Formats: sequence, C-alpha cells, structure tokens
Amino acid sequence: MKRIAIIYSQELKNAFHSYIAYILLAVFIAISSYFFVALVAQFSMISQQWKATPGAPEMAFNLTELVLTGLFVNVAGLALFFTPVLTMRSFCEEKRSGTLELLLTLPVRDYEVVLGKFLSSFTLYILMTLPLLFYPLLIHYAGGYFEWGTVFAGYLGTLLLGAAFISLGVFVSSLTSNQVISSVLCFGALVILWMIGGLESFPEFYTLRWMSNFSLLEHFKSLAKGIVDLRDICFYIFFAGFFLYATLLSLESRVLKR
Amino acid sequence: MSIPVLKVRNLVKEFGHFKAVSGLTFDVEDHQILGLLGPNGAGKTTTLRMLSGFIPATQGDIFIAGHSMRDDSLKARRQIGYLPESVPLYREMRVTEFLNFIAGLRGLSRCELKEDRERLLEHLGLVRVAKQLIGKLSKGYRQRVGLAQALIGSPKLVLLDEPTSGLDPEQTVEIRNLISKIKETSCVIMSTHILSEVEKVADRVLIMSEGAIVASGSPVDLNKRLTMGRNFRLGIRGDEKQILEILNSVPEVVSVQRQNEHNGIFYYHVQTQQSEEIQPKLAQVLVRSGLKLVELTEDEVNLEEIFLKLVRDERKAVPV
Repeated sequence: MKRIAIIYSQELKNAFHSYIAYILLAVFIAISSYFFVALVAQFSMISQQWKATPGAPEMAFNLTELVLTGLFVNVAGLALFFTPVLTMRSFCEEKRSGTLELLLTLPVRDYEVVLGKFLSSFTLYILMTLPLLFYPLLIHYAGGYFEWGTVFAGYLGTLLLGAAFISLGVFVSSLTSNQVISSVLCFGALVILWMIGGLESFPEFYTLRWMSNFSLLEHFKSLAKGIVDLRDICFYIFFAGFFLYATLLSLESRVLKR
Repeated sequence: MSIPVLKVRNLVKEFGHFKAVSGLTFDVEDHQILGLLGPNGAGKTTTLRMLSGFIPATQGDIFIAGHSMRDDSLKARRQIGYLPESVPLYREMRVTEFLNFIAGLRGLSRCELKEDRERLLEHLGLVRVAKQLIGKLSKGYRQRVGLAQALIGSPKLVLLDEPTSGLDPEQTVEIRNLISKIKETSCVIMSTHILSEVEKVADRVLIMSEGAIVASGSPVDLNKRLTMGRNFRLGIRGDEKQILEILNSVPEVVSVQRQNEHNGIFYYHVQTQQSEEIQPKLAQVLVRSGLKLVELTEDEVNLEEIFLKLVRDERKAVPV
C-alpha cells in the first residue's frame, strides 16, 4: 500500500511538473463550463418561449433533465478526447526513457506500479470533472431546483466511465513507447466502444447486437438520467478491472522481449 | 572463507529459439568487484537483467543473500542496486526528490532515508546539484545520480551495466574511482567491453562469449593461466649472426623475430616457453658469450590479448 502511495504521489507530481496536468485541467474545465453555460442558456430560452405560449400545458422537462443529463453526456464525450492524453504518459514515457527497467527492478510488485499509475490518472480525472458538482450548486444558490439524486448518480456515472477510459488508456500506453501512437490507439478504441451501441439501430447488423452490451455510452445513459442500475456499475468495474489486469500481463510480457 | 552474496546456478535465458545466455554458474563474495567482460551481444546485459530481476531466467536460479530470485523475488530485489546501461532517470525530478522516491520504494524509513541520502550526496559529490532538475545536469552528474540511486539503502549487491559508457576520460576516471569505493560496503558486478576498465577496477573477471563463460579469475590469474609462454624484448650489441645462434640455442626459446636496428643495437622479440627462470637464463647466456645486453624487458600480455584469444577460440569451436 505504501509503495502504491509513493508511485501515485510521484506520478501526480510529475504530471504537474510537466504542466500537462495544468493544461488538461484548464482546457477541460473551460470547455465543460461552456457546455454548462450553453445548456443553461438553452433551457432558459426554451422555458421562456414555453411560458410565452398562450394555453401551453405545464413544462414536460425540467432543469435537471435538460441541463444536467445533457451536461453529463457532453462531458463524457469530452473525456473521450482528453483521457488518451491523460494516460499516454503512464508507461510510454517510462518505456521510452528506460525508467521502467529501473522501476521494475526495485522491490515493487508489478500490480503496485499499475495501480499507482492508474490512481494518479484517475485523480487528475476527478479534478477535471469536479466542477460537475459545483455547477448545480451555482444554480441552487441562484434559486434553481435540482434533483440531487440525479446529480450524484450522473457524477457517479462520470467517475465510473472515467475509470473505464483510464484503465484502457493505461493498458494501451503499456503496449508502446510512442506517446502519439498510444493516444491515437486509445482514442480509436474508446470511440469504437462508445459507438458500438449504435449497432442496435441497424437491422443489417442484427447478429452483432450482443456487442452493444459492451458500449460505454449505453451503460452511461441511464446513470446520466439518475437511474442507478447495479448492472451498469458492475459493467464499468469489470471493464476497468479487465484492462488493469491486461496491463499487468502486458508488463509481464517483457520476459518475451530482448 | 566468506559466504557469497550472489550465487548463480545454471542460468539460462532463451528468447524463442535464440539462447542468449547458457548455463552460467558463478559466485560473488562480499567486498568484491566482478567484471563481466565480453563483446557486444555476448549476453552481459541479459545476464544483468536477470540478476536484477527485470526478466526471469528460462532455467536456473539466482540467490542474493540467500533469497531466491525465482521464489522470493521481492526479498532478493531488496538486496540489489541496479544501474542500467542507458542510465534511465526521471528527468523532471530534482536529485533529492528522485533519491527520496527510490529510497521510499526500497522501504527505507524517513530517518534512514535522510541519513543515507546525505551520505551519498556527499560521497558522490552531488551536494552542489542536489536541488537541481536531473534533466538539466551534465552527463557526468547524471551518471553519479544513477550511481546514487543504485547505492541508496546500502544494497548488498550493486549491478552496473557499462557504467562509464559515453563519458569523457576525466569523468571515466572519476566514476571508476567511485566504483572502487563501493566495494567497501557492497559487492559489485560491472559489465563492460572496455578491457582496461576491468583490469583497473575488478578483483575478478568473468569473460563471456555467445552467452557462456569462457574464462574466469583475477586479471593476474588469467594472465598466468592463459598465456602460453612469455614474451621479451631484447636489445643486443654485437654480431647479428652470433646473436641469433645463441638465442636459438636456448631450449626454452620458441621464436626469435628481429624488429629493428638502431646505432648498432639489434632489437628482437623473443617468445619463450612458460618458465620462471627464463629471464635470468637469457641474460646469462648472452653476457657469457661476450655480447652486450642493452635491454631485456618482458612484454606484459594484457587482458585484451587473452580476451581476443578466448573469443576467437570460442568462435572456432562452434561450427557455423
């Protein structure tokens, strides 16, 4: 545990030393804030138009549904672009500079290295997505009403999705020593796993429908709406566990290389 | 006799069908520097990588301070300090920060860490650059930082892969002196293909070729054991024909080669059989015959010649 903590804190320090963390945080928060402002403005415009319509029934949508669910889905889409950059350094840099050899010959277990790196990237991800809890507070103090259950379910979904993204990113970075290749491969894999749910809508791919169960988006949709389904939670935990284990195997495969 | 810190038993490493290391068996005792010598591709780095625990052996085992690398890798690795050939360092870290990181992973307490770190910074002349980013240091200083990380926590076994590679002559001498000091506290295995380095630093030499040990012993022992005879340079004033007759009359003389002539002095390279008494015997025979002996010096057969001979013999022995 102590060794995981040492690797974790060093990874975080390195991310901030190299300014990558600052840049990612700043850009991610700026774009997600823009999404929030745009969704609130859109909600405000629609609700004003609704109210201005004579004889209109009560509004069929609320602030939580239109702004928050939309925000969570948009931020998840944004994470699709940012996570490959966040994780590309994990093992690529160690491999490129040769420090992996140094690290793995210290009295450290391979899984401690993998967990230390995963947790540090995940911490950065949490920092990037933390404002998602702040925005509803802002609306709350401005007099708006939110269903806090939905907020927390959506945030839980964002975190689980992030864990899945990062585990895949860490795995891909363990396969190559080139950061560009790592981030492109990771992005490609994430996009495929994101869009695979769309197969259901094409009758031609009827036989491949089962693959939509692995869609990262499909499992996220219900959480973003505030529905906490244990199957979705288990899916993300299993997904992250699978790729962390695959990373471990990838590290052990060094026995085959000269 | 002291207990060996490192015991290597029948170590084999195969990469697919390629056998990089075959059947290494040797021991290293405490306070000893073992030079691992061999041409590029001899299997030195693969051996060090197995000794460090980075890659597992296909067969055989390594025991470090009694801990098996195969069965108890973590405890075995606790006894090792390793500096790979490329001197990999975290360039974005400061020197002290890097040493703290390594010491933390080696399980040193905060108190031990501080004491050990300060000692090494002082010992390796790193005090001045302790707060600097590693990436900004010169190659010589980076090499010292690499050595410091290998030594922190006073490991029983220090593995150095080509520790002076890429350094200028002044830095090479500095690092060589530092390595000599390490044996006061640990035993050291250093791989190199630079023969003079091993001769100057190592107590024992292990010569590798194509993954196997072809000779081992101290540099002096190797000289004695592996040279087939002795070589002398003689400077003699007198009649050339007479000189040759006298030299060839000595039964131990194997060959006589005239090298040059300068101011009436003839210089020869004389190869003799291995004999303790041959040098005074040659002098006696020449002086008694009335010739003037100007020079009689023995050519030291250096490790390089032994090394080349062994490697050549090894290659000849393997049918292509």
